[in-house]
Amino acid sequence: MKYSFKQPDFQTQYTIKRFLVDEFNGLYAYLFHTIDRQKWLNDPISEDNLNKLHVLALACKYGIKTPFTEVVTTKAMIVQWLDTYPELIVKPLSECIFLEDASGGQYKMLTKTISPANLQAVPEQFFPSLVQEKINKKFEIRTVYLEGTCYSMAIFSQNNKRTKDDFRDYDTQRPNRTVPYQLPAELEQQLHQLMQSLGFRTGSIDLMVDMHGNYYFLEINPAGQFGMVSYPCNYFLEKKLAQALHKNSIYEEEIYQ
Amino acid sequence: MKKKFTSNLKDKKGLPLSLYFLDKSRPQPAGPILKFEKARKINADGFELFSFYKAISKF
Repeated sequence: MKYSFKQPDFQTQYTIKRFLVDEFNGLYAYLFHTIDRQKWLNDPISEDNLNKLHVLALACKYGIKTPFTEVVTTKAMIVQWLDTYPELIVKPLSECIFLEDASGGQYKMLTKTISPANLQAVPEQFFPSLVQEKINKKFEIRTVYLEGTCYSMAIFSQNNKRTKDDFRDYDTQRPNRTVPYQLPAELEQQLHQLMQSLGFRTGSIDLMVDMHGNYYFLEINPAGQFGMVSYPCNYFLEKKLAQALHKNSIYEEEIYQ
Repeated sequence: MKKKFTSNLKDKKGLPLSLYFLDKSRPQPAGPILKFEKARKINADGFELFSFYKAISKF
């Protein structure tokens, strides 16, 4: 598909762009619906509509600790919060993106630290954006939740300058140490309640442990990769997922008999 | 100092904050598995265990 305007018109260009995306999504969503229900663990529409702020609010409701979170629109508000929290982080309200410039330079959006020193490049006002208190972490945890069971992995990302703020700024020469990890039973129960309230049978949950041993919930990726936890921790999740999907098909066969 | 994404823009007002902090990525070679070794023992379910050394990736 290729189109261009004879005369630049931002509003029409924007409307056309939105229309094309909506047209594509109309077809894409229907294709997902045509896939047998037994081949899904989560509802695909719920997955697509997951909202980071809503999930954080729900986590609080179930008693799970979350970092201080605020949506801000001015530099003055950030400066004010920096009086209370020595450092803040910024991350998108939606999903991280990759961008490329005209010379082929690549830009990978990651969690970034905001400090008084790097605020200079920020204008006085900006689009509503998510900022969080920066947790001084001992290690990160990635938990794969599958039908009521948590399979967790600790990621020691703190001792590497590169992965300190975000372990996705991978160091391929000196990978982070990752080990199987057992979450406290109470936290597992709270995460189970959270996943149930969202109607998710599976998902990857990001957590963090601070220097005092407090657990912080960060977010859920309902279609998160399980291989990154399964292989290093020998959890054999591919088999457990296959069993869960098989159980789905047996159940479907029973109800249609 | 790393190049900021916003340096590519003519007009950069009112963007989401994460775009003002977006820096050019350092090129990294795609990482093969650095080490993959079989453990001496099997686990309680009778599965073989492996030690797996690779930069974990969410993407």
